[in-house]
Amino acid sequence: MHIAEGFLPWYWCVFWYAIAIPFVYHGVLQIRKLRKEHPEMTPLLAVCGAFIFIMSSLHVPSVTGSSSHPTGNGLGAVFFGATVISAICVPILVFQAIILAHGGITTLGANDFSMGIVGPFFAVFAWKIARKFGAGYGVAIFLAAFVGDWMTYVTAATELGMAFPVPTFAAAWVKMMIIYSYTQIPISIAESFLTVIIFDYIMRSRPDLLVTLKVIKAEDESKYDDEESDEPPKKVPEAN
Amino acid sequence: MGLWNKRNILFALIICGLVAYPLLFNPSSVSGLGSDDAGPAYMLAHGYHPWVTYLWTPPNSDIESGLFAMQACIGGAILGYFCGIFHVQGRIRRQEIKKHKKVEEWTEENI
Repeated sequence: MHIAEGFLPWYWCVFWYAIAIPFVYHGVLQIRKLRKEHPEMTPLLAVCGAFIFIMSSLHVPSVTGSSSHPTGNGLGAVFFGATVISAICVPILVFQAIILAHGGITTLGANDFSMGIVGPFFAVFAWKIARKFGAGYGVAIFLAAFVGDWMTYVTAATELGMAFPVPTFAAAWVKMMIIYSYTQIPISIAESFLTVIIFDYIMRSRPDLLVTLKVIKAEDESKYDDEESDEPPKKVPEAN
Repeated sequence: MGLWNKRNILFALIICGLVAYPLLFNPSSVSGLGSDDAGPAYMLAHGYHPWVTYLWTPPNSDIESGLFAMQACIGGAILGYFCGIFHVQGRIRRQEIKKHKKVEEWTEENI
């Protein structure tokens, strides 16, 4: 999904920067506010950032015959909101552009728009719709991760189709959709299953954080408290 | 039932299957262009010329793979560190809850 350096005309680079900057600015303010009001959220914020950092470094082969990388943006978007992810994605994309020559500084606005804005917004939307229709946390986070990942690639395909409408925008868009979105479907599914496991882990270890963030209901905080025991299992008395 | 219950083990197996299947049965997914490279390749083939290039690129594919692995390692270290903190915090939290429950039970029985 990382659009390479120089592969967007300069006016499109300016356009995507102009759109992305307000979201990133809002995200930075949100992170500052969150850390000030709830300093205990910092580790969770780090987990979500690290998850995106890892996911975007993994080039995974797809059953459709190409390879791509997951994005990991759904988890953090559900926890903290989409604009926070748009801010978190900036240092990750800069790191990849400078150190790995993957993505680019000129295309940073476009890449952040797809991975840090559209993907996370759709992830939050999918989460809210799923929860509204009574889906459990597992199903809802699965859908959020899948939609967040897939929409990132749909957006990247659209950005390239708009910037390079040869022979027509529709033809270029379809071609880019085949390249990006079709490959991404199985990878999105794999990422979604992994996101469910990570979500489950956080819900078991620190459900109080998720209650504070209003991700889970207060009555579900103690859902797993009785399941796990840290005490060693009691010895069964041997029969004489 | 901990984190590695039947459901999560099944999910982990599905992830392994989705990653391993193309490696075993569809080698073109590994040897061919990735989607990040296929998009620019299509544009180059249709006459597009990038107006700016990278200041630095990894000298060869081995170094590039190593840098990606380094990125995954940094992310893994951060994730592992904070998940470890969560694990300990979760344990303390559950112990506190148990203590609280015991105190409540004792209070109900004796007062």
